[in-house]
Amino acid sequence: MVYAIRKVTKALPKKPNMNALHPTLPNHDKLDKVKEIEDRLKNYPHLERCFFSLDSPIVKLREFYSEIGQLYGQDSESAFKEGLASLRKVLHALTTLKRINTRATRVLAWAEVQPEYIESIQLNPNLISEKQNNKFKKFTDLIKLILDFRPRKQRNKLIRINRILNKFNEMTLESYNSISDVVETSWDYLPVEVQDALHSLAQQIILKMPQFEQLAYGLSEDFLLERLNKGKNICNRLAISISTAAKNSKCKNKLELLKLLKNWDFSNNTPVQKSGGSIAITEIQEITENLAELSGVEQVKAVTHTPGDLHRTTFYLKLSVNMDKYGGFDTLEELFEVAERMALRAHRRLRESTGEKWYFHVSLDEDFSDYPNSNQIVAVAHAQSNNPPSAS
Amino acid sequence: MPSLTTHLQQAELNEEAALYNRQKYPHVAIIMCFYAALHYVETHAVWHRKDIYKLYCEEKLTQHERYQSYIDDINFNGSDDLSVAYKLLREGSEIARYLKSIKQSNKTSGQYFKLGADFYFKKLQILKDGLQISSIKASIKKT
Repeated sequence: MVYAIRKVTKALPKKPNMNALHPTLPNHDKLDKVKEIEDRLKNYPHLERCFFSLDSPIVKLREFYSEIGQLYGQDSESAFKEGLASLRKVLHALTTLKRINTRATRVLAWAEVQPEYIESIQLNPNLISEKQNNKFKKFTDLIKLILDFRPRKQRNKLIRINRILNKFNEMTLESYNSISDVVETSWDYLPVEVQDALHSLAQQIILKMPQFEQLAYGLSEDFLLERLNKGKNICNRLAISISTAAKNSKCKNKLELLKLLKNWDFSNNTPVQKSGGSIAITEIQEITENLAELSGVEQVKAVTHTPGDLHRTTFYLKLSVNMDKYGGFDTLEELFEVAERMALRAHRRLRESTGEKWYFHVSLDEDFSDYPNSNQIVAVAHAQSNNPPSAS
Repeated sequence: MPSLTTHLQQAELNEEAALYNRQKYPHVAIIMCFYAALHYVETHAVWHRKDIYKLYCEEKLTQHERYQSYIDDINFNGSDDLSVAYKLLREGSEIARYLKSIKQSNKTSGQYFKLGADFYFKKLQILKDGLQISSIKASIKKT
């Protein structure tokens, strides 16, 4: 945390027990992983078009979010969108914190060479010894000096430092709040690397919490205490929300996003740009979802005949087990006919809109768990939990 | 390549075999319905001077997938009935032969199709109507 104190020129208590913190960050290695995810996600628009290449992460991502969607009663597309939005929000917040941290260090380096700073050190022999004893970090020293210093000249310079620190403070708290918002609503949607980084962040914050008490002890002015309490509450909220979310997590599967993206060599995978591809993928996702909603259907996988080409796509249906009756259908044939007509309607629509030949069909499949060619799977959907239970 | 009449005769022979087994062995009837359908599709193609294999030879497809594609490409009055009928006949014959998708029910296909094969005979009729088999037959007789 950066604690900037407004109006330093006002009379302030002598030698307040002021201890300011840098914006708290996750451990280096955790943060590095997050940074790497962020870098790799810059290729995302490219990635999104690569539905077809071998082990395309987008397919696995969609598969993961389809499961999450099932867990939270959401369709897989909404879950996918929420996942990406949450991820981007957290990445943005963590990047902001890191940037503030770097800038705060720079401000400190600049302040250190200012005459006021040198003068203050001369005026405060205690500080020198503290500094020599390396008890305080540089930034802490600076805040102490700002508080202790009674500016007689060049006060603008100190006001400037203060204004910057205030800004840093606001941005830090804003980032913490933004992370808390995501954590409270969408923890399970975040990749495991980001969850680790947030865990680490929570630990760092908890370690620094006692410093709020020390800070409060040294402050007598209401506006400073108010500001301090606000910061304390926001830090508290973040630490608690992370530990609660992790404890209440419903999802057993974790998304190892970095691993997924690392295995993806962008240079070797140029997106297949078949005409009508973007309309087709939307259509395929829609049919997959709709088929999964059919009574008696447990899961649907849309599999292309050829990697890189959606024109021939088969929708494999996994049916609920041990059914004599097929959901709401009397016979398997009835269920199959309804499903097949759904696929055919979509292929007819595509034929009309693109003038190309599309072949969409449905197939029944029991051995559903493992397709050797995962690069051919373009969409997956699970039945929503509110489907009527199958008759035994 | 078999001639038009050979395909038609084979289709009718298979349909007869289907009817013969209709009551006692509905699963066999379903298999024969599908093989009748397959030869009716060939009949339609040969009548229209088309070679189904050559039409789709550039794609790596099974011959069964080529038949389905051919059916899909015949615009049957803007209706999907023809495609559905052929696909269901194929799927039904796979259930009958390989117990596809009914393995977990621990039933033989004979037990599974105890309600009979009527559904598949209806689909075969839809297919025959869609492929205009009777008019092809009438035209062959005239010539």
